[in-house]
Amino acid sequence: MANFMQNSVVNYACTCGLLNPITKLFFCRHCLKLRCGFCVCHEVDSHFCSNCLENIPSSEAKHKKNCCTNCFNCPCCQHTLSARATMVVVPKKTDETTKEGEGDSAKAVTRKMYYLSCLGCRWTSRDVGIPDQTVATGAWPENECSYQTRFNALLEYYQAVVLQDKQEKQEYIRRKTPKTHKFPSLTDRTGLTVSMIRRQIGWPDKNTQKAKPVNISPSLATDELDELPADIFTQPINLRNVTNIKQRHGQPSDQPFNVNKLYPQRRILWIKRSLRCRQCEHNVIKPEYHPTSVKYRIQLFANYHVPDVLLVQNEQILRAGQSSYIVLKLTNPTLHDVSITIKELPTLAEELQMIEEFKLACKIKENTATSAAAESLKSITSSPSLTSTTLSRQASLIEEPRLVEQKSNVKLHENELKFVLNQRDDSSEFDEDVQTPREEPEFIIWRKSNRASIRLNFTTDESLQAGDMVKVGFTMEYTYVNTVSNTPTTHTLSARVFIDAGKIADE
Amino acid sequence: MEIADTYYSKDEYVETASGNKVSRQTVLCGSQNIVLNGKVVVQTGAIIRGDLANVRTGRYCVISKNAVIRPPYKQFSKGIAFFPMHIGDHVFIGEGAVVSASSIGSFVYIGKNAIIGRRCALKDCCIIEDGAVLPPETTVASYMRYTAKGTIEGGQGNPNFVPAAMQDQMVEYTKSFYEHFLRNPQAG
Amino acid sequence: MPLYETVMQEKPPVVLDIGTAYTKLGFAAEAYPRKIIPSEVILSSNGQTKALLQYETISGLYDQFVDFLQMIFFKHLLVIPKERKIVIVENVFGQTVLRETLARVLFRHFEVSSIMFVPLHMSALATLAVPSGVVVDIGYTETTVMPVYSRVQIMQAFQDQAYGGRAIHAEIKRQLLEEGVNEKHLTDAILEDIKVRTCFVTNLERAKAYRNGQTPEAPPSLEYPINGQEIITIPGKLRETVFEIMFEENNDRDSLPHLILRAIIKSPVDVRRSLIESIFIVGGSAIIMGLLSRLRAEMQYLVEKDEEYKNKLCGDIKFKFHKTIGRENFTAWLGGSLCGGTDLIQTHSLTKEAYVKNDRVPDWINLTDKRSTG
Repeated sequence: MANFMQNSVVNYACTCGLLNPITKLFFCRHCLKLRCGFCVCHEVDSHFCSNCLENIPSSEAKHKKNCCTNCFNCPCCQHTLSARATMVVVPKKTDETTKEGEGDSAKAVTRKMYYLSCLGCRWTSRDVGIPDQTVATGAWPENECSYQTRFNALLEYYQAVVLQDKQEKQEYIRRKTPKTHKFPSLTDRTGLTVSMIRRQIGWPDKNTQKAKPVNISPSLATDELDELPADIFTQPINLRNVTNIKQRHGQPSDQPFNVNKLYPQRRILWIKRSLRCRQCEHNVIKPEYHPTSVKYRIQLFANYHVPDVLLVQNEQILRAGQSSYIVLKLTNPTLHDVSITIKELPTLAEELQMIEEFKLACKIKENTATSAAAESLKSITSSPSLTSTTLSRQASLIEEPRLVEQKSNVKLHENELKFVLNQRDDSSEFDEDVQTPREEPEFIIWRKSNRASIRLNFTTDESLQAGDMVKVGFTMEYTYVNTVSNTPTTHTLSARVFIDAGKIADE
Repeated sequence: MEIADTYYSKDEYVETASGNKVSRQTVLCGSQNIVLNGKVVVQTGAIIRGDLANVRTGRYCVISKNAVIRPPYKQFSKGIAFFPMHIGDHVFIGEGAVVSASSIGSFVYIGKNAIIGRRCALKDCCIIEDGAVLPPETTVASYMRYTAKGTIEGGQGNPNFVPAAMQDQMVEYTKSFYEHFLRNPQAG
Repeated sequence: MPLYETVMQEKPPVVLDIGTAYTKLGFAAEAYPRKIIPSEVILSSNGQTKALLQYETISGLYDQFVDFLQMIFFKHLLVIPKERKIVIVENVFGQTVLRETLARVLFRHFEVSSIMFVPLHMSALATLAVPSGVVVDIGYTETTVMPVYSRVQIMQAFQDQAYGGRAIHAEIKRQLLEEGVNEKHLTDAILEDIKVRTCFVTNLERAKAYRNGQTPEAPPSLEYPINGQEIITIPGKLRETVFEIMFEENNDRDSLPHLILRAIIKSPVDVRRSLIESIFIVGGSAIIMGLLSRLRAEMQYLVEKDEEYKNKLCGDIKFKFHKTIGRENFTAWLGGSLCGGTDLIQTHSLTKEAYVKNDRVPDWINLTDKRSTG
């Protein structure tokens, strides 16, 4: 990478059709396919605070509303607050008048008092009026929601209303559709009902569980509204005291207008994600639990399994309609020799066919999965209707892969370029470079251990204008040895690669 | 794209025994307190203030042109004290960056003209974008990207802001930078 | 059975109110949204920031929704969307394509278990526990007025107009350009800041004076620093006149007081009295100082003097307004949170199975969806 931060010149087409550089791609070892951030399923692994780097278990995180207990953010500039200590002389409560500042331990005690201050904008907790605390963590007050009781009352009211509604509906249905019994009941013969008998005996009625109607005082509309204060026309406002929108949104419950009502906000936690392939449900990435660790428990990056294509800088001037070449450097990251074939990209018809095959494969997999599961479930439960409804849940909800947007606008000269890349051997870094003379195809320029440079000839499209980007695209077929199961199997996989070779020069 | 070979002339850069390539036009104050662990490139115009406190760098670091590495200080009631600064392996510090962090982890990329406030702590595998300004005492956790706007994005497992294979990428980047930073072949 | 239900319902549903300018997000049965974030998305393909609801193609909108919702779930709410229930507060007259795409993204990409669409105006009224009222939502792109009587929306009396926060920003920009301020300084964020911090709605007498051309003494102007680079002066006149575009007199008679009065007039005769005494203004732009009193003064004036309204609304008319609990910009979200906390979420949601069968979201304009269920 010439520049780490710029957009990558070489992009691979993922199975879902999106283009990504190889650094953003993952390789599922079970499906043997490339996956990108779009087509995997993201899951939350662990919570941690990005300031104190403390791991918080998920149940506690939910309880604390996903906020850290000890870390606070400045309400003015949203950076971290730090606790500062000051020494305060606190006179001990005695009957006589105390003498301050004398350091007399019998009469006065010096204590450390803490306040929060922001190093980015010089806001302190004293601006709001929070008194200094004796301990650095754990005692900072939060601003409370002023209407919480009203909200709770509303919530209970609506829950009761909905429950009442549901019960009434159930009653209605019960009355409307009388149960058809196989045998005649007592009521048919005699005309007695259960409730009549209960009343005669003196028992209370059945089903007295009706929800009590809950009342709530509705809000009162008033025509006494706050008029504009008269001094708004005369008094200049100090912009420093008025909060801006971002500061208001930081405290959503009351969104104060004045800066001196902004409380310090608890810092929000961050998460570590693990990624899972949607087709085979295996994890593609699983990070370590600990917040400071950068390792992964499972890391199936595409760099480790798919040959890497790098564009060696070319000083060629590209013109429309002319033939030219680029030099590519390919690296084999696996521990096995890889034979690579470079071919043209699949045509539109072939791409559509690939998408259809994918959809068919998913349907077959679902049908076999559902039928197998249905069989096993049927043996457990005896209601076939239950199995069919719950298992048809996954029917055809998969996102279809899309056609790759970028099209190649060159034509490759050679139809197929075949060559072999050696396996990766870490010890060869230190060995002498022993070149075994062998028959090299003419397009290989340079070769060293598991890397090789090849020259790819192509002709640019006639219709390109000056300033258009020349996009070279090809399919790279490579052999891959799957070591998941005990017996390693060799497969031929293909990846579609798109390279931005450079712009057409101005005439 | 592959990094192109950059050449320096023999009298511009000094190559030490452990493989450090240090330019002669840098300001290295207190060089006995500066420890460059090996294969470190320090380009022209860089300033490393080893006179204030110890500065320790890991292997394969790259300190670009006009960068300033200054150990952080803390103000006490009785005066100022400077604290030692630790930089991990495979760290790239961009041109013109002013770094006063108390510790930088490994595999970190610091963009050009970034200003890292005093006593910041940058953990492993994080990215500081070009032109970002970090206020003092901020902690940037692993796999986080501190943007020029002042927000933090990313997280481990998020493929978008910091690449998941950041460690390998930084290793490759700094290694290939070092290997392509070559001495001018002598004429004759 | 009930015990089992409470154990299963440990995961509260997620409540989203996706507006054009800001999105309010949080969990059900909570008194305020966890976050109010601007509706902007950082595209994962090229890292650029763009407005969420600005799209060129439907697949572009799909991708934008995916990136935005991924950020909401994994950066702000920190929950897995899979098998979660979602409540979405939406405008009943909003664009269908947004609704369909949102449902498609949530069901196909994130595999949520069910979505409940809640009408915005009803949920705003639910926070008051009042059965009827006129709900006015002043948003970013448009203002909508919906009368509700006895918990039923009166659809034929719905009014809307395309002015809102965005129009106010344009007006501020126009006035500042007249003063000679450089246009490149006036980004949308700066205009919004000026509107929120300095402007207010003036009272009726002064507004009339401005309209007639006699400018009364303006409130004090102030210096506004932009990005630490320049200081521009905001004239006092701007502070009180930018909101006049919502009260402008024109031939279409579609300023804010007219909208409300027209909505009342289009409702059936017997409900008008209760509607008049129950007006509820919500929405982000309603927080501005002085809006309610000015609106009441304007409507009172129209009812007394204007021919059309004088004949239709007779008697002693006294407009009464409700006060919101919490701030106006998340009142609709609050109603959604109340809804999501009840059992309605089990009965009235669109489940994944139902969506898969039809592959579309049932809509009130579609007659096939209106078949009455048991």
